[in-house]
Amino acid sequence: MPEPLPDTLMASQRQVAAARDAAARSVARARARRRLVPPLAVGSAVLIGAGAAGAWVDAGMTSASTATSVVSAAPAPGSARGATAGTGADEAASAAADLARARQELAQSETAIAALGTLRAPSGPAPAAGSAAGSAAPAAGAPVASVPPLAPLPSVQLPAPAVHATTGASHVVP
Amino acid sequence: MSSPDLLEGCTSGTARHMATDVTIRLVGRDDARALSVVAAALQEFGDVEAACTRFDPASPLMRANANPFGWCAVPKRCFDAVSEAHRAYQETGGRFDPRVLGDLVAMGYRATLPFSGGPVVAEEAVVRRRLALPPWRPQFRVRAGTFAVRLGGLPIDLGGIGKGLAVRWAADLLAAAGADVLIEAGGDCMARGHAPGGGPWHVGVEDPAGDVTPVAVLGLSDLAATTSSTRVRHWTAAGRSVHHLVDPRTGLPGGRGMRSVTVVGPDPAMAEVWSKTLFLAGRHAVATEAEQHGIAACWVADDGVASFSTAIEPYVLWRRS
Repeated sequence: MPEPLPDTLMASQRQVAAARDAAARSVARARARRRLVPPLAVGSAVLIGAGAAGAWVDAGMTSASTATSVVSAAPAPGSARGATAGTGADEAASAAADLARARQELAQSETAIAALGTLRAPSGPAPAAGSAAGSAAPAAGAPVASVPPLAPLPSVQLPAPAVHATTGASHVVP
Repeated sequence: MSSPDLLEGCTSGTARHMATDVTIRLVGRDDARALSVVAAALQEFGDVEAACTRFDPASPLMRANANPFGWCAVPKRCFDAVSEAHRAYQETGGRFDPRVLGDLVAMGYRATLPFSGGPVVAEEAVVRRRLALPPWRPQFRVRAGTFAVRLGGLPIDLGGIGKGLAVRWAADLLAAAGADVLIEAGGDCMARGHAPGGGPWHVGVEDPAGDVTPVAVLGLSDLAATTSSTRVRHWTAAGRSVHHLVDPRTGLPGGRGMRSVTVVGPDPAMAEVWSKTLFLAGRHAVATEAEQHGIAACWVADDGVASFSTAIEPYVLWRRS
């Protein structure tokens, strides 16, 4: 009967499997972003005309922050965990590299969106890099062009209909 | 003023009673029977005036007034009129009270005044507030076809209900002659049935300021319209401007802020009673009073603005903006 594997080796195998799963998820997310971000950038140009680009950019910034936090959850290359298993560390390093490339592409897309935001207000100041959310949305409290109120229509009094009799003060006959 | 074209096809009769012109129009009937009924209805006004006027010392009412604590035999018309006045007193909670004759006489309205001849100044007039009156408890007796009243201590004036009663009784006579009748008695109107050509009778509500354009035009069928107004019956007494609509609670002219009140209702006598009662309520209470009692009323205040109660809205065909 073969000897059971030592506990440390079992724990190490479990850690490698967990790291591999996490890396696989991160790669999948990076690939999805590479597919979706360019079309979204073009779509945002359309939404700018309808005034919805600012809200979308805000949502995009939120998802970017979320993606960053998810990415940071993956084990960093050279960490104590990754060093314990050889093949798991190599895979984690590869996933981290994919994630880094995805992050760089996302940043480029955000720059493109910010540039598109300048088309909405050509007479206004050029938006600063990374401030797409601020330039795409209208400033709070900015005056909105208002339609001048219509002049009131003159009231028309229809003439009184003819009457058969009148009720009123008693007519005194001398 | 009525339009002659609208009244084409009517048999009409006019007579002078109660110091005013009374006109009766019967639609679609020009036979002798119809003319006879119209004449009888006009005479009804004369009979009521003869029995109930306070301007003739010999009238049955004035004989009863001369002995307000004792029994006095009166014609049935006078008996019915006093009885109806008491019923109106009860229905209005005392706000209609004919025991204001003494107040009117004190203010100089002891005889017919020349209201149509310009400003009137009454001589030897006193305008003084008095205490509220005690409850009115007249008594009535019918024995072997004779009628008697005991007025309960104070003389009465039936001017606030007499004309409305005459219109009611005249309309009852005319009911036998035809369904479509219009009675116009010095500002009090009774519209039975439909106008010539169909549809309701059109009755204008006079502008108390004297403008020829009415305040409103009402469409009436089987309804009366009566107005209490100070446009005509006002005069100067003891240096003060007074009018004939006396508040029984004070003995002084009432209806602060009011120019006129028009009431629409099925009975011309009660319409007249409520027109005076609402007038005396004054500008700030008239709307509440009208709504509380469900009275169809239109009133004009001192500022010339006309207002309408909820109940009168279905009858308003036109109103001045």
